[in-house]
Amino acid sequence: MKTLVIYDIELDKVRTKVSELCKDYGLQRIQYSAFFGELNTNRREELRQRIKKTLGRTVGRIHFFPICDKDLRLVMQVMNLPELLVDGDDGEASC
Amino acid sequence: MKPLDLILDASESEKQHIIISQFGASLGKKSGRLVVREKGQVVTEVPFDRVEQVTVITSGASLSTDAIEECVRHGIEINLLDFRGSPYAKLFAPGLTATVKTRREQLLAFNDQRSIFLAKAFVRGKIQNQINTLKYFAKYRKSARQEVYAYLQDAALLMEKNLQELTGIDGLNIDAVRGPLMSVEGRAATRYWDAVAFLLKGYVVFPGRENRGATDPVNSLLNYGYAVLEARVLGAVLQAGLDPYAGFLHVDRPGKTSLVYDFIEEFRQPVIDRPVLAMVIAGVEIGMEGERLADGTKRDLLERIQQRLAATERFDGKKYPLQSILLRQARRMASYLRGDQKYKPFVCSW
Repeated sequence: MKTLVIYDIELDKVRTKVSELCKDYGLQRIQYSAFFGELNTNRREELRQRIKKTLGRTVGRIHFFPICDKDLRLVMQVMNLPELLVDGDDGEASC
Repeated sequence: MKPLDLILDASESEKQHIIISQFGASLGKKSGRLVVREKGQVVTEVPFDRVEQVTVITSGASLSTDAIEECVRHGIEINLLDFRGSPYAKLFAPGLTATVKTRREQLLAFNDQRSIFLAKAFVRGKIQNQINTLKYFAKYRKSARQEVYAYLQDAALLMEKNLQELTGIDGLNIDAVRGPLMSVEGRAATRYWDAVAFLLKGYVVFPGRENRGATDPVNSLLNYGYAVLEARVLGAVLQAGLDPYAGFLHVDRPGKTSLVYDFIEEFRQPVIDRPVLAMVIAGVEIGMEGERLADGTKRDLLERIQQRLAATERFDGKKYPLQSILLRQARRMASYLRGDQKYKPFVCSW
């Protein structure tokens, strides 16, 4: 199932380690602190435990959201990408 | 950052075959991922459990020991190919799955009927696959190009006769039947390549089948393809715990993986000939650099072979990807030698 992983972690070092772990599990970065990708139940639990261990006793919160296909179809985005913004354009791009 | 749409559409975690073709590329490990760098820039990063195989087809590439270690732990084979496409090295864990019983029986089989049975099975599989390949290409030309259809059908019919000759061949040991077997195989092959030449007429110049040192596009593609297949077959044979140097049909020669040459016969046509012929017929431009295939063409062919290996075929009443049929057949050969099971060559449908 597709899973969204988002996190708030204060310590840079720990945050980097968590993002590396997400990449090891084949997740793709969609925001600075958000990863998204396919994870089955086992892999998700494995990742959760490894992230928990990595976090240790430092301050931080990590959320895992499994998302079903039906809900995925309702995904919406609003964005302004710097490379798409041209002068004089108010640059509203959405998909 | 990759756009969300692309990530949403990404198919579910298929395993990747990493092909390194850029001179000077390097293969390393970062955290739990395999990292490919070209000119110092990261070009691919794949988690190890999504890597199926690594193939290096260029010179001047470098591999880190960390990456090798992690690949081996995940059962990922690393194939190193020279410019001809022949595997000159293969990296895998030592003594992975070999049982002594398999090897002992394999060597003993050389002196009894089992070697004759297997050698005949390989030849039968090869000829049947050649026939089916001709039928496969004939069926799409039944109405459009009748003369080709008729020629291929005739050739297939004649080869069926070769197939029947096999039943009559018998002897005390493999040395006694090797000659007759090779003769049948050779005659069937001549008919097959004649038919292929007829099929390709008008598409490309095909001077007939040539093994090593061929300089025309079709033979170059075939030779490169076979060399790549050889690496896969070697992997399957080793995984089944067999000794790649002790063959049956092919005579022992120092440094020759005779069993690989025996066993590969079942797979040449389904895995290599079909995509190569399809590629030529489709009019794909085959780049040559002098007398050799251009790098881009090699890569293109490798990707087609990869797709073919991932494509499913009927086997044992079920559908399996060709690459897993390869493994299953190797294991089945091992278990036949240990006396557990009958062996039947893999025949690809048309």
